[in-house]
Amino acid sequence: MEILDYPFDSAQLIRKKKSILKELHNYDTQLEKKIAFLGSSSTQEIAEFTKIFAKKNKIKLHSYESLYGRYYEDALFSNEELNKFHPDIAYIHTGWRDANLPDRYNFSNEEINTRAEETINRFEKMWSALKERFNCEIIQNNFEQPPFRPLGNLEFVHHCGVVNYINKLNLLLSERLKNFTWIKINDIHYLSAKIGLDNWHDINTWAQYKYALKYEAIPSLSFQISNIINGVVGKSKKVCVLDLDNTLWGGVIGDDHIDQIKLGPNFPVGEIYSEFQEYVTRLKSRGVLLAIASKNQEENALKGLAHPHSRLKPSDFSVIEAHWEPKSTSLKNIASTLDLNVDSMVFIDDNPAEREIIKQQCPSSTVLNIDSNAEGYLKMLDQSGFFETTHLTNEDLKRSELYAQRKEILREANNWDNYSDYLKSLQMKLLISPINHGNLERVVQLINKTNQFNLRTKRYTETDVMKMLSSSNYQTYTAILQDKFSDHGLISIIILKIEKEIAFIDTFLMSCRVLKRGVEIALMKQVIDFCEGRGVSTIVGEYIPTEKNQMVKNLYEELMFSMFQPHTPDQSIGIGTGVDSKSVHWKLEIGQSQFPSQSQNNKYQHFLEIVFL
Amino acid sequence: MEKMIYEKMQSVFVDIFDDNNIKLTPQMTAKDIDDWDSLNHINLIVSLEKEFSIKFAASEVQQLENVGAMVKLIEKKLNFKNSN
Repeated sequence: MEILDYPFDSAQLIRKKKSILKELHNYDTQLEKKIAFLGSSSTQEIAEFTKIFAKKNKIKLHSYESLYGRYYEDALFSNEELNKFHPDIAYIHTGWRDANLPDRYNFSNEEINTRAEETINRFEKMWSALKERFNCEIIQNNFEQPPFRPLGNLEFVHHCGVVNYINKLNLLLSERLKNFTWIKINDIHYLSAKIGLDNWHDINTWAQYKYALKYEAIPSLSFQISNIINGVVGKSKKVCVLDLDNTLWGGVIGDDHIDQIKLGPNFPVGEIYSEFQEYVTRLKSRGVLLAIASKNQEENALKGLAHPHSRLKPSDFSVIEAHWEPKSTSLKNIASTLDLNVDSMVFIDDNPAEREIIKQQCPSSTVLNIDSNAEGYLKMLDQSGFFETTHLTNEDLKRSELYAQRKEILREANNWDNYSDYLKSLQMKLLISPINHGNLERVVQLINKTNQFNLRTKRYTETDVMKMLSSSNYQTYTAILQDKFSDHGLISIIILKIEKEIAFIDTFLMSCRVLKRGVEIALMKQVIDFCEGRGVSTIVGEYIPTEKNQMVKNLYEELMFSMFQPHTPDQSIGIGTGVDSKSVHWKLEIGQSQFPSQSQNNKYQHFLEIVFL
Repeated sequence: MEKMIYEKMQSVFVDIFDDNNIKLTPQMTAKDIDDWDSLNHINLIVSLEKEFSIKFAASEVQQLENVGAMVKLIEKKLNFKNSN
């Protein structure tokens, strides 16, 4: 639905909302979430558009909305309906009217500071209460500038100025959030500045309908919220696939002399390409993987990246596809090289014909809607919100480095005749620990984005995982893999749910970049040892097929489980609950299994040195 | 003028209520269209403002009892706009 792509026409969306809703109704849904809109002003239309944008991202949202004027009480004390609804996400929609703005210019500095502190404390009460009651994710607006400045420009400096106060409040809020890492900020201070305060504030909409922002600004607000939700559930994009000629520089490197390539300060349009390259470098630094899909000879592609003003170097790209094959092939090659899905990719190309091919051949990927003018690239890429994230993890900061090391390993693997010798040479270490506060962020990230080596593809929020940790029925494992080339970080998770003598494997997933290292066997061995000690008689596994997890179809068989039909679906361990007939069940009887000695990849685990953290 | 307003207004109504069969008459009120609730009413007003490049004042919106009154108000605003 291109009408919903950035930059959308808000007036058009408002006018065509009903037909958009009708069209989205049949869109497929990958997951469902419950979101409570707690607003100090009206939220009805905000909720509608948030649902629309989320549905386009294949997330179906169910919503609750506070009654007018009741949001604070709802957050603090809840009510029967909200209790029953039990949100996964709470969105607190507040703004300058809730900032307790100073209304005189003779307050002391101390009075102003106290006022700001108390304002934030009031919000903190909501966060704590919501967290305690629902253990939900929370999205909180910051504060936008009000529609007036009695003191004019001096507002910025004077301690009683409303502009000064809003800036102070936002700073205080960001400081406070360091202790509340589960709060996701919705930066309406930025958004309102971006679309312009004149397009944000509207006294009429407030007076008549009690909306705190201009009606036409609502789609932009909802779009931003839907991007945050993408981040929360791990549906943000991971790879930026770039064309070269007229995308990263002006001109055609295969035809033009290198001096004629428009990049850098010698050409006006060269400045634009330089700035775009600079931006792409920033994306890489924050953990977005970069790849090239160019119709060029590889040597020409590299020549362009060797341009004295090229900010991007060949080593910045995890994959370079430079040849004359169709770009849909390039995209698929990039996906398989990185062990990622095409749907995690954003494709950027100045050529509309190439964009059209990708739209048709790789419909699950995202194509940036640029025209052929370079000045629009950066803005489109930045404002589309594809890469929205709620945390910046250490993994993110090292990501492209990790993939570079992985490439090195794959190259080395080809030099070995015997795979076992190769594994031995890697000097691998497997560090095993339960899920804990230290690795929770990464665990949730993996749970929500692993598609291929994932037996049940159950998505959980930080909140869901915390609930499991606090129950004695759950046993969890995480594994960090290190070898002589690299620290792969946390790459595998198992969550067991134990009911009496049965242990059900609720979650079993692994990052694909460490396949065939024996990790799954070593971990299953830990699981079996634990179950023996705990008096468990049977371990039950389930495979729920998806479009993407074919690779683990036979995993339990490889791990010496035997297939069975559960006669009486046992709700308590989740077998057969909400799952169609396609799912396959496996069990392993403790003490009777040939695992691991008879399993085919057993030898691999011997090359892993196990360390318990 | 009135005819032009009816035509444009008709197309806005068709979009807002996603119903090609809507035929506007001066006497028509919110009761005559199933989905014409308070939320859609805002969408309608905002979309009419956009279609005709006009703004309704808060006091004006309160007084619109039927489609005919809306058309009259829009006509008045367009005349005012054109004379300026």
